[in-house]
Amino acid sequence: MDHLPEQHSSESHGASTREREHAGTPDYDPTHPVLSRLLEEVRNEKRVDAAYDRVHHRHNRGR
Amino acid sequence: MVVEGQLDTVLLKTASRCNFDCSYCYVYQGPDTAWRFQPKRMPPVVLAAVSKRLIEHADRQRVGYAVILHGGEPLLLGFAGLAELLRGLRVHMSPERHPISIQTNGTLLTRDLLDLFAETRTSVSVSIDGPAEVNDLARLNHRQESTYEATMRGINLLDSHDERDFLFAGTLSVIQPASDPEIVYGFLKDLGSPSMDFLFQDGNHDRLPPGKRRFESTEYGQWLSGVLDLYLADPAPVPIRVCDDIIKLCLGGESIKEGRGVNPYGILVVEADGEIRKNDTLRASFDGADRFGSPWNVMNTPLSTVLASQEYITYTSMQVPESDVCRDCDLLAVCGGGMPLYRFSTDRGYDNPSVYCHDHEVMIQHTLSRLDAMGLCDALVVPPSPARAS
Repeated sequence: MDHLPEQHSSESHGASTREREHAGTPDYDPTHPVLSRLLEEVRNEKRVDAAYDRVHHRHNRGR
Repeated sequence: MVVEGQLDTVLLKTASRCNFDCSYCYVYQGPDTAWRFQPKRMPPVVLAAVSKRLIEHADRQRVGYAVILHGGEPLLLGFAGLAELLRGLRVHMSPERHPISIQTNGTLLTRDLLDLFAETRTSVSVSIDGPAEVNDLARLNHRQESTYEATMRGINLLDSHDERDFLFAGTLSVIQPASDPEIVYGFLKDLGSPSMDFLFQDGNHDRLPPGKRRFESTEYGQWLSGVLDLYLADPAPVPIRVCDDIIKLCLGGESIKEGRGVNPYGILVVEADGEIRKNDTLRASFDGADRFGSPWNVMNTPLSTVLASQEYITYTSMQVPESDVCRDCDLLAVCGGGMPLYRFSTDRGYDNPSVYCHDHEVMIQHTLSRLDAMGLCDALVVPPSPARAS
């Protein structure tokens, strides 16, 4: 399971998380085409130059 | 994260008119009338001044910023004006630090223009709402005729260009909530769109958006939830910006577009006459809502003067919602209160939750539930409340 520990707010819902694990919640699929890309982006945003990267995605806007 | 006083995006109104007459347009169908007094196209003296200001600020600001040619229909400026502007900017502003793009309806694209855009590393995003029966619900020309075939001709030209992979940035679609999201999603994928985005129609508490029956109804949230399901189930998806932003915010990341999440966005608009304004979507609220109090124009004012002003700081802080409903909401970190224009009412100004508040809730809860079910429960910024999802 990909836990993203740097963003984990376990205090807010740790109990329910444990309950789900016991209930057999399926693990995150690291090959999922959308989620794997976005999780990587979230990790990269923690880099010091993240604000610089962001402008490259702001291409389509308006009507 | 953008800090106050930093420029993130500049929109250039290279043309103040449009060859379309879309029924939902916030420029020509809304309460603002300023466009009537603008020159139809950005004149050469303004093009020179805006180039000077953009280059000047590129040298001054450490972090890059994006330039978007916008309108009206920005291609109405014509080849000569576009070439002068884009070639002039690219002498001093690199594509790596300063991406330039055009938001167009696609009908005026030509091979020569696409060659110019390839030369100046200017990407193209095309507005189209779906197949003809969806697109033509709102996107008609001034004779109230379909624009679908003309837009498709432009997209096909773009799609066949040698530099298509760079040039074709994606499609931008306004949600028609009565349409079937599966049909729209399938159409845009078949079109070869490399990136999609979907927008809400404009509206506020005085004037509900088209297709929304009442404040509590969730037509748009359900429609977007349908798109999210298709997106997550697609083995070969193309990025959908609104879905990506919401997923990332649910996972503790950042959004790309203003109106989602709580980061400030530094957006300025330069009108065809050179006037410097706030985010132009504000004009959907009331006439003049996007104007600064100061008479700033690229002819007489550096962008840094605007960015250092209290007026600019006050304007960018509008993204943080005033409403207690929003401030007390568990989902604020994701929805950010939505775009300010959707919060407006004559009685209370922007001190309201978004008119799309319940749509946001449905879409976000649906996203949280899907991520939870896919094994990402540990990474979510708030736990899902499935009863509130669609």
